[in-house]
Amino acid sequence: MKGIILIFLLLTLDFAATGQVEKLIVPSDLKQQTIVTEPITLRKGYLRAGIALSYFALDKYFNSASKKEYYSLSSWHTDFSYQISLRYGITDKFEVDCSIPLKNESTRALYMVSWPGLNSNISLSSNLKGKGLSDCELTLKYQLVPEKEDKISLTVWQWLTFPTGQKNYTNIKSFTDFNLPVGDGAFSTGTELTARRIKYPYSYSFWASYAINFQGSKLISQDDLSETKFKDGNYLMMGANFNIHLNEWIALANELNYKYNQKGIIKYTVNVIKDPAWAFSYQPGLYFQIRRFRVAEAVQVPIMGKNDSADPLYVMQVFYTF
Amino acid sequence: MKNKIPFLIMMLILSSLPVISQKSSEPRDEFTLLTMPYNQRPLSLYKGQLEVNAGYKFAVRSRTYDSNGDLILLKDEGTASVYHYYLLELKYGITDFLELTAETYYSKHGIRSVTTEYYSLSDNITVNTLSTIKGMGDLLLYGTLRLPIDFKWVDFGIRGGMYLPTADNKTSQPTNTVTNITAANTFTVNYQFNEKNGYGVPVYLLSSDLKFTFSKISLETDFTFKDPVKEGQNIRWDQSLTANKTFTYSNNSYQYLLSRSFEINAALHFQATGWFNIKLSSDFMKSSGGWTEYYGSKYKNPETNLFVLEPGCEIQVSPALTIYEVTGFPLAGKNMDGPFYLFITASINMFPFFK
Repeated sequence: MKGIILIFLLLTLDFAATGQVEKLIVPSDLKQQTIVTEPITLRKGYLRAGIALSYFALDKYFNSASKKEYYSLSSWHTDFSYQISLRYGITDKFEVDCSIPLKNESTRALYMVSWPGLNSNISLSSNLKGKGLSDCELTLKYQLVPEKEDKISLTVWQWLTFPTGQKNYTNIKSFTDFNLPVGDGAFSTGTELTARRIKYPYSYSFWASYAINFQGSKLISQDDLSETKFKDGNYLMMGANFNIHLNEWIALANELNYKYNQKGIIKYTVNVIKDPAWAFSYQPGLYFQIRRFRVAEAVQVPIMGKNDSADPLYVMQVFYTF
Repeated sequence: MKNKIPFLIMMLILSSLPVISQKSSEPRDEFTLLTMPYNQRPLSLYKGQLEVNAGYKFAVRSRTYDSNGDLILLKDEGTASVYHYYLLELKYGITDFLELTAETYYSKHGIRSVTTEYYSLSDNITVNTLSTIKGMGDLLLYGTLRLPIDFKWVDFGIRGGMYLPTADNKTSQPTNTVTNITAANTFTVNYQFNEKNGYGVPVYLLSSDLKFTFSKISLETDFTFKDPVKEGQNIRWDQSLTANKTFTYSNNSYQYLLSRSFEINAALHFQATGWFNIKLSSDFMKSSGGWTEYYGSKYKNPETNLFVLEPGCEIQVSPALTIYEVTGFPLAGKNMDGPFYLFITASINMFPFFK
């Protein structure tokens, strides 16, 4: 009888392996949370470093009548830039970010001039490049209403952009041979408020921001002899996003945003006004959370606008949380 | 007790043997079929499987190949452009060996020409030229028939169908404008020609597909042939600039015969894990034959070819959702644009009538 009981016990030994276990949350798990599940600011002591690659080409724009049009001149401008980003959680509610953009843009153009009567043609071409450190940005984020399970949180962002990029045209050899500026040439600062709620497997948020551009001076055109004072228009942005887990480690992000640029001014002898502009865009993105790595790809598609670019912006990002 | 020890050992072994020795027959439940990795998947859908594919291709037309096969960098001429292509595809498995597909697309693309300024003693006219190609493409309907065997390591299929001329391919009237009028003979002419997608005639499609799988590595190759059923007709617009700087238009119809084309594709796949497959494929297409009428005379269409390298991957996000990503790098060609492109497709799979 004892033998039979022993046999029975041995046969049922493997039940222990399939029994219930308690899910333990350890710090390394927290570093693997996705854009849906992680708090809006990094936890205390966490460092996230990453690089973002962005690409866009000037092909279409929204004109002053809000109609989408192709650029008609034979000119091709591309911007293939990188941005190094560092985020650090000072406390569980307070985060500091630093972004260092490295710009890589080029404008190529060809222009033919023809004198049919003289049976003569000449062509003018240019290949202008702008490479180097652009304007760096420092951002502070603080959770005014901290994130709690199933509750709405409120976070304030404050950022300051430093004019660290070369603001003027350089290496000017002729009107078709010079280097493009890679910086805006003025300080700017802005504030954003974000309300967010996590309801697994979703998270959604609403945000609004206002940015002030300060006055600066630079060469407005490559043939200017001296710098001219200018002030770009302040801008308002607002948006909403909705993120959803497609599986445990892939999330689909959706964002709708609106940007309104107030008029800017160039202080020549007679002031030149830069017209206000606005754009309404949709930005879908896929976020892959592979342990502590986060790989993301997103595209921002302008849907409507006025006096603004109508070209999509492609972004690919890779982050690692230490 | 001694007699019971062998019995005990035998019982323990027997309890685990059925698990490790006997392979049960292939499960046919919905989950298993929907999550079947590429290296174990046949060339057609399973019976009752419905697949909906929605794709977006972003292409940068920054290079083209001339009639000698020489590369011309369009970005150096300022005439590079962006191409947006949206795909919609619907597939259904009638049986495990027969699949039906319907496919169409929408695309938009604007091609600029070199800006030219014309001078004479009295005139100074700048000319910009833009050709837009925009609209729905034709509807492609085809069937796929594969070998009536369970796929283990080799599969073969044939495909046959037709592009139906559902798209309105008649060229629209140009929308030319005159701007920057600073004097009677000093202004800018902006030519804008508005073309549409679609072949305008039915086009046959015949294709064959072969797939080998060796463990995690698969090789797939296919050959596709397209040929127009008949000659087509379209319209060509002429324009005249009037004294008050507006345009008048007239049009003439012309006939054409599309070139026939073939395409060979070979792809090497590696199934890294059950949900992730990476591939490197090469695609070669060539077209020849056909003609286009210009003012009463028929001119032979130029022969074209293009060779493209396409690295890509397939990510199984969930049983119902798979994402495909492909990047295209043109390597050689003749009389063809060679755009660099990114193509992302979301594929939804289900068994709507599965019991």
